[in-house]
Amino acid sequence: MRALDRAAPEGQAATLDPRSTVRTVPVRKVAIIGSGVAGLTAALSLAERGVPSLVLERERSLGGLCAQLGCKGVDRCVRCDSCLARDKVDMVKASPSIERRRGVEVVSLEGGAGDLRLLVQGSSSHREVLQVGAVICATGAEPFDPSLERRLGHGEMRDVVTSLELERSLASSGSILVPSTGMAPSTLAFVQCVGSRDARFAPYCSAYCCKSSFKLAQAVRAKHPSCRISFLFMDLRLHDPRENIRLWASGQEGVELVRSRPSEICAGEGGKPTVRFAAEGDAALEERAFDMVVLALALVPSPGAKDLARSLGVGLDDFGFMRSQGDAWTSTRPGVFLAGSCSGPKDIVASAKDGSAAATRALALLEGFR
Amino acid sequence: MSQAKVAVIICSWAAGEDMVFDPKALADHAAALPGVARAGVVHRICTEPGEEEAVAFLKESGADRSVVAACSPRTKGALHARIAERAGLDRFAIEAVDVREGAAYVHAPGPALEKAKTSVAMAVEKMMLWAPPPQRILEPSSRRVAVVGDGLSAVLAARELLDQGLEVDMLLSEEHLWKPPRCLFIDDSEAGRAMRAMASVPERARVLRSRAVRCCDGEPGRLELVTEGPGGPSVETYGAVVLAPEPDLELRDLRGEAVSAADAQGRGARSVIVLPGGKSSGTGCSCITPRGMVFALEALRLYPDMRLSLLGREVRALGGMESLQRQAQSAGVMFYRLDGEPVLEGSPPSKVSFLDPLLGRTELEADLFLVDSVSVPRAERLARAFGLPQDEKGELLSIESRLRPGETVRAGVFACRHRVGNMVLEDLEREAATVAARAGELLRGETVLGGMVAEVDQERCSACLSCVRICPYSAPRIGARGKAEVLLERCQGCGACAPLCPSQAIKMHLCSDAQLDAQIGIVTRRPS
Repeated sequence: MRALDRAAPEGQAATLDPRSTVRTVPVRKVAIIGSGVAGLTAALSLAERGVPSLVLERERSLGGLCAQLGCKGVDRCVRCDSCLARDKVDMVKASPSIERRRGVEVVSLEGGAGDLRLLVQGSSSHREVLQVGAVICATGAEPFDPSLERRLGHGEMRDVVTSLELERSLASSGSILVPSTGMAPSTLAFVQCVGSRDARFAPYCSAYCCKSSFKLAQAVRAKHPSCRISFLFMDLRLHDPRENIRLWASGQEGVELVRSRPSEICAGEGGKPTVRFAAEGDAALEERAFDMVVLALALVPSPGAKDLARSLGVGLDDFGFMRSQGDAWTSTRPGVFLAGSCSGPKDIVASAKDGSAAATRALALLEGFR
Repeated sequence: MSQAKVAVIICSWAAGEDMVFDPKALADHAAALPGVARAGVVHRICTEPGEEEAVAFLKESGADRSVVAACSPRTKGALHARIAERAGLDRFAIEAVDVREGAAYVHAPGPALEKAKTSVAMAVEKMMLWAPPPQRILEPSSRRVAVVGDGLSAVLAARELLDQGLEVDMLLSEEHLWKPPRCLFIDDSEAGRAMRAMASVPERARVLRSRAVRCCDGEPGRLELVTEGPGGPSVETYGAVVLAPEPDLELRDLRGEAVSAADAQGRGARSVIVLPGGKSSGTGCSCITPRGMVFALEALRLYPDMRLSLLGREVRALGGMESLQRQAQSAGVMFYRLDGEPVLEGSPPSKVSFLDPLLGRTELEADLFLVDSVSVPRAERLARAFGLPQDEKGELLSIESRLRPGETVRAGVFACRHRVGNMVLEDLEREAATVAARAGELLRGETVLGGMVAEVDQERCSACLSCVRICPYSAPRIGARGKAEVLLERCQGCGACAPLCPSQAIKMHLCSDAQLDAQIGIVTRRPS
């Protein structure tokens, strides 16, 4: 991700391999680390252009974070894109030129662009050297740990849930219910920017959460039309101006947009989560109880990103994301390309687009077009 | 005519990962249906051994058509067609029934099996009336791609195509490429990167200047583009076409003139206010964007005493642009929130009054007002030339399928879509990369045309033009015989024309009236 006020941190810069010149005949195969929507798109895009690839996944199933999300459409599709990962997993499985390995971790990367040796370790401590021409790193990011932000009461009150918890419930049961009662919520608050835009945690905008919460709000309304929704935000940052949350909210009775960052969520009467916030244009503090509060979590670099960066010999930026150089998809090490949220937080569509872009760069290297 | 014989393949995963019903029970039910030569369970057809087993199963069954009950053809269509072809059948002679998403995932075990049985029975009945549809396999005859556009977007798309080893013709509507605005680049390295692309890419491509595209004919992989330029009209064949209309990303003064930070200084401005495009101009969004912040920072660098204020409802600084916002704020750029529309006062305007949610009614004075609006050129001419529909704002309408980004309704014609994200260089690059990759994918392999398409019965057609008018894809046209005919490469099989035809001359292949009747018959005959 791009940090503007930075100087390259020492020791994290690329260790440029002296042999990093392209061989006359690069190995015609690409290793893709991570099987989220960015990695899968890269694999499919390469397959369509005749380049075999090998998708490496640390977990037991393919699909990454995106595959844990639930469909937010009820009577119509709201374009939440959560089906994209599942569809792409299906397509990858049916593609003859994409190999898949699950439960493997990267140990090291040697060699130069076009002729790389990736050492990986399987679950049974079995090690293997993979000979590839290029590597696409698509390891994604992790949701922020809400227990670090104690004043929001996650973990203390059952009815304060994270957006990911709500997504998982939507994915597994298709329902949105108040955890403590199992009933339909009659009031619900979305709290945006949890961890994001916060100097203590993630001092950047996480870019996906306005869109995702907007779609979740639509799903809540469609499932429980009488549920009142309060959307507490700092700035509305939807990618596509055609997705107009203001227009939607103004046409829905009982949906309010409040520009405010809550100071605290505590247990109120009957243990209901009570949100304390300053209402817009008014210095007075307001306290309001909700049946359920949804925290929109920041995306932060995964704990393993540092080790992986060291293994791959690529640099990190000030936030701990993979550093890009020249363009957003080229890492600091020749032959290693970046896609998706590993280089900074992105939504599903941007991650998918990243997959195509990184694939083109790998292809250009392998076929010597650049 | 020999009797049609259907083979039914039930994928072992058709009942979902939880085995909501027994696939064997579904196979036994299918085996007893009239017309079914053989029905059986294949263990996971999307795996390599599963695919082999399915091919062998079809070959041994002696059937000439098939039904596969598995998961979605949306993602497995290519696999199903490959299985049919490998078994020696027509690639369209396989009907997929999505019993996984349609039955197993959404119903309780009992009803799920019943629905799966009905769905398979309907598919078998439909396939009994199957006839081979018109089809043609196209191998791209040209590895040359035309990029239509005048600015940085076109340059970036051309670079992505060249990097895939494709040849590129850049078609400019004017004599020279448009220069991108300075405020698009958040730092000097980005500006340098873009300028290098502007300088180097046209050298690797063939640049055709002052060219207007008149029309586009032919098929994907072999599109004939008629253009008109200084030397008169010319016709060229391209494998694909990429449309990259350049969005307007300049900050403009109230007369519409583009103003850079240096211009503002040159005009002697001591205080500058950047207003959002918003509703009043009909373009852009009502936000403070990274472009406004870049402009302000640059202006302060050139002229530290200048006062800079940015107005907008939201601050649009997604992802890492947050740092840019902080940088601008600490440099002394003022950010004001707007509630509603700002009102300019004075002639020429010297004051703006607006409602700030915290400060209330606020008035600011300035000697230069700029408007930050994004707009994509209205694309009437391109739309007409390529037979593409436009949206209500006049922009080209793309198929907004997440699985097929960049595609338009014309196969082989791709379009960059703008107005996403922050609209900084990275967003333009990402869009160009995606669209160019899609074009590269098309030109790599062969394309199958046909299948579910409309066909006009030449005897019945009265050339009333109903189909020509209704078709969103410009697929039907009046042919040499004075009757309507449907262009295979343009038809998307939407079926809009068929019910409209007063002579009932239009037949939908793979979905004929007889087939629909037969399918409905299964449901209506079923005892409740």
